[in-house]
Amino acid sequence: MKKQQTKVKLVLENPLNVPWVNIDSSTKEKLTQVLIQSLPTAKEDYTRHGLTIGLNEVNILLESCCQHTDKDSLPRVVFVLHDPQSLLAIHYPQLIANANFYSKDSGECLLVCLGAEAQVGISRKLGLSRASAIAVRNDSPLLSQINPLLNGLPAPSASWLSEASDYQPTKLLRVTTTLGTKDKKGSKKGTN
Amino acid sequence: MSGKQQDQHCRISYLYQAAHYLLQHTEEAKFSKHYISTAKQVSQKSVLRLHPNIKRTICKKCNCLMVIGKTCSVRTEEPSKRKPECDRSLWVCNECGTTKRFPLSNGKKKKKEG
Repeated sequence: MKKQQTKVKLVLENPLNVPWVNIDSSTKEKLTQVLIQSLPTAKEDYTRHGLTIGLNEVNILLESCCQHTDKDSLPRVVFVLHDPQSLLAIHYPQLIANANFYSKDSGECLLVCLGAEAQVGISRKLGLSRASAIAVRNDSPLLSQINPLLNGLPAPSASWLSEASDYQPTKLLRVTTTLGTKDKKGSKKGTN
Repeated sequence: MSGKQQDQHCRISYLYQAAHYLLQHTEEAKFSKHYISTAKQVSQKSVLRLHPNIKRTICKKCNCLMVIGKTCSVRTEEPSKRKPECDRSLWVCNECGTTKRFPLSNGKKKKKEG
């Protein structure tokens, strides 16, 4: 079989990308353990503990923070229990950066990715089959245990949203692709 | 890479950032849409590749920039409760109502060996 010839192509990358916040694995494990110990088991206690659970519910909450400027609605922290490169969770840094910008007076919301490994234990504690995202409100009683671990973590931010935004340099990626093979018999079909 | 290609890449990046700026600071989205359609024309005429991270933030129908929370909303769909690998992400453009679905799996079938 003939070797396929390769070619290097340049691909323009998004210059306005908000990256995930890097967190130590030890901090992630401590946060996972604290959540498993202190999360409620009954569904009726979720609102009393200031929790919003589920990807769609957390998306709706953060999108409403971008539309309105209610001081109480921006959560303190959002935990994502999914692979950060998964298509279901890849939009969270951008969404939280937008919510932080449009709700400037109500503080900042942090983003912590605990990974898919933490989902099993936390879902079991909550009594659900799956829990992929948890948002904790500012007045939640859980914050007294979580806040010491969240100290020093930067919040996702998008510098280009402010008025004094700088021009971001062009980012290019080098991608290796294969050249298409020519079909000699097929190319002569249809010719007069 | 030729100098002309580099110029085109820079032009597309500039138009994309300018479209974001106009969307933030003007009331109507038509100025931002015009810049995005120009950027798409430049990439098509020069046959330049754009990363999916850029293409997914542009509405295919109306060329509006999909800023999550402002001009687009993101939801998760679960077609099957037994198979979590079938979950997909649904992006809805608030300007024209166009929806885009992104499944978790690639959808590529494995080729049979032999």
